[in-house]
Amino acid sequence: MSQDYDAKINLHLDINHGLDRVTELVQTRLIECGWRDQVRLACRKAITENEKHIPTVDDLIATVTPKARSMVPDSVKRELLHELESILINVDKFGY
Amino acid sequence: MSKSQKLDDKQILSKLAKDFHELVTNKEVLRTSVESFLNNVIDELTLGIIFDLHRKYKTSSYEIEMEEDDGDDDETGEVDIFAQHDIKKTQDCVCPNCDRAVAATRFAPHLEACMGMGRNRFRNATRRVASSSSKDRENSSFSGVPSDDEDDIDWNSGNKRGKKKKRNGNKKSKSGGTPKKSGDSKPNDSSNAEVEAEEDDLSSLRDLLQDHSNSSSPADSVSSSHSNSSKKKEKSKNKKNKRDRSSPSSSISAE
Repeated sequence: MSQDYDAKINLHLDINHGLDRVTELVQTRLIECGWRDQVRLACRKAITENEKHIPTVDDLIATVTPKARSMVPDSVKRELLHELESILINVDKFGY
Repeated sequence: MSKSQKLDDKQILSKLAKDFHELVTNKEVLRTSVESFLNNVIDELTLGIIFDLHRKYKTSSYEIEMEEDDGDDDETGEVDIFAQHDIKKTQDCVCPNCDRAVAATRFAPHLEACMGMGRNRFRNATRRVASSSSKDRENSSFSGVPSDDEDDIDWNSGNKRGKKKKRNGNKKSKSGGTPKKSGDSKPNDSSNAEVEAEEDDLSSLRDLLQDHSNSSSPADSVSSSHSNSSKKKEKSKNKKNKRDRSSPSSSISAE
């Protein structure tokens, strides 16, 4: 169910040309709070720990993504949720 | 066809709008959906970071950096950012004039200024030489310098001569003029004197010619002869400029 909703939101935003704005907003927020650098460091650690061989992309994804999700500060997450909701309501108000 | 397409589009859009509206109005649904949307966006970003770093490590760009770091520890710290060693090993020459240690690359321009060969440092050099010659030496060892001193002398004397002669010349050229003109000629003299210092003889000749031509039209031959004699007197007596002005007119009026 949640997956469907997510797809729906993506679709609606894309139609209204709001998707780019939203993704840009989220990116800037995350970079500001330093989340991106933290994730990068964790990645590099994960890669360099295995001295002999470099792990594959799949391995990295499997190890790094849960870490990345947890690294997002709660305040930033809440802010972003609020903003997204308000954007969606606005889109709905001013119609298609 | 187009009309039907438009209608279809409108219908689709309206359906979408309804759907969206339902989604948005239901708050709980909205929250969960937004959260999942956000998670997706975060995952996309992490993927981007992973791809980027993984590629870098695979192409072993980081390994090269690490090797360079090890290499730098061995070298001594006298290297430029372009990995050049100190270039400041230029020899310093000792200036024979001022006895200063000058860099080899700057030696020629320094000499030019120091010895007075350049334009701007002309006066500075002559001053230096004049002071040094007056204090210590009578015979300067540099051939170019005495000529510079002579030039200085010529300039100074020429200025004085030029000023006086110019004043006289201007006043003579305007025969029967008002005192205003005498006032005008004086500032002209101050500006012209410096320029025409060396052409004293030529200027006096010109003045004489001018006076001859001017005097012939307005005044009589008698007055012209009187003005000529008075001009000669003016040349000899440099200070009596105003009186000289009045003397030809007075001589004319007397007669």
